[in-house]
Amino acid sequence: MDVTKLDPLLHSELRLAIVSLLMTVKEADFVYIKEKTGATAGNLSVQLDKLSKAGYISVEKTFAGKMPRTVCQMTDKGREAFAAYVASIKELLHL
Amino acid sequence: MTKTEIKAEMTPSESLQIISSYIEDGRKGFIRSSAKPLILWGTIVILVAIAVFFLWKYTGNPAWNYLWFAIPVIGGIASAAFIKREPKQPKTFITSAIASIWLIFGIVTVLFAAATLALAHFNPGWGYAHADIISTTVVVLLGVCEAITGAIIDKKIIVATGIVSALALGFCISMASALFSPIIIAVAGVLTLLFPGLILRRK
Repeated sequence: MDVTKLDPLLHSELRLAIVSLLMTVKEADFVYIKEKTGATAGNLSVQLDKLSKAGYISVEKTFAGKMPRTVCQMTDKGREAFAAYVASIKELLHL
Repeated sequence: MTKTEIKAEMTPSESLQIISSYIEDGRKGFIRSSAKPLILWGTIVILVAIAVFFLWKYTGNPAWNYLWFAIPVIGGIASAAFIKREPKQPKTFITSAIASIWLIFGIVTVLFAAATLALAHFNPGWGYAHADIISTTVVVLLGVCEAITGAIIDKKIIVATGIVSALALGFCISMASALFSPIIIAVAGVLTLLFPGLILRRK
């Protein structure tokens, strides 16, 4: 197996960081993910959109009082993809 | 080219490093966020216990024991203010489990104490027996909840302190005179709430 066979959606620093972060929580909002990953709002929006379109995460837009709030959480498909990605990485590293 | 595109060429080792660091950082952060409520409730329990002891001792009036019911009131208000002030943290299995354990402890002890007091009211012959039952139950449950908290976060010192506290203080409080129960409960507050809170904050 070589690196090119890895899931291209997850084999990117920011998207992998987002998914790793979401794997540890039930859900997280945009502000929290932005703070933890250090990404810009624009870039983060783009990457969240890609993960959402792939069905790896669900994105829900709600309101916290009068403030809009974007809440993300992993889907079953995303969890499976992440597990498969980690297994592939381990295989590549002979772990 | 964006940062993400550049890093699309990252190596498997870098990938693994990213995954490990985010998961570990998250775990540590969430455990640390459980520390403040334990410290807050521990401080309230200790202060109320000391207040009950001195007020009862110097007035001779056991009615000061009703002050125990100030704990959920003060704690509830302080927790609400604390939650409002702190940045919102996402929920995890660890934080949810720890919060549930202590919430159930709070509900059970308040209802148990209220029910036992009500029964004692209609059975004046009990003397201070009902107070012994309540304080022993509270101290044992405090230790048990601490031990379970320690087991969830995999901290053996907290598990051990909880077990020792439940057994030693439970035994002491059932043998000590009712007047000294508040002092033992204050010690239980230190060992079962303040101590694990301080350990988690350092983690």
